[in-house]
Amino acid sequence: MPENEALTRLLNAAQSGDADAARSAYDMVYMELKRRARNSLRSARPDDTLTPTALVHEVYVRFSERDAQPLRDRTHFYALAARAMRQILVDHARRRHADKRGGGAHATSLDEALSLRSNDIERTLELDRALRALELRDLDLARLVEWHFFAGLNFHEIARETGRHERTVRRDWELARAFLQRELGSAGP
Amino acid sequence: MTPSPTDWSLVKALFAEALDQPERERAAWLEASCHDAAVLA
Repeated sequence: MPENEALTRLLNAAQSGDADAARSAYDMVYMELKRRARNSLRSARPDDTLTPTALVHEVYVRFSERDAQPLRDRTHFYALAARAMRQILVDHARRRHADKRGGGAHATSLDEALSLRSNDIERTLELDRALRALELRDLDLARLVEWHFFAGLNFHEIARETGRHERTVRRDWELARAFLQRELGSAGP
Repeated sequence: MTPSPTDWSLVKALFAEALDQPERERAAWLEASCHDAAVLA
């Protein structure tokens, strides 16, 4: 089965409450994002930087364009991709953080591909902690941050995908940002 | 203090309304709208 059809099928099953399908769809997107990060490293020119949002977009295009049937459930795809990208970045930051404290194991190629500066490592981990606090308070706001920050969707796109007014999305973003800033101390995302 | 879910809905509503106020009037507007100090605690 072509991959995008497989993903569409998994997303549909997940919508109907199939937890295994939801996990498989997530794994599929997660693996593809990781693979892309590694491939980008191999082909990257020295001055290229790999941005998470570009990666998510590439993966979306890949799942969408290959075959006749487009990826129908785009919203669900972005939700998965944003979560997967967050996980990849946080895992990466944790490894780098551990390396720094432990004297440095060898960085993996993915670590290099996502080469975050050291202050970004701390920032990613802090943002993840703050985001978990926001998830406990308001899952919708946390999802909005994930989509905007990790999947790179702009407010117009988020409004379209969630069937809400862009103005409402912007207001929610302001509130989410205020919440995160409080959680983070003073510096915000 | 962590706001209860009901308080949080109120915080959200107040926040949204506050954004609609002209910036320099926002603080005064919030002051007037938040008689119940517990909401902002």
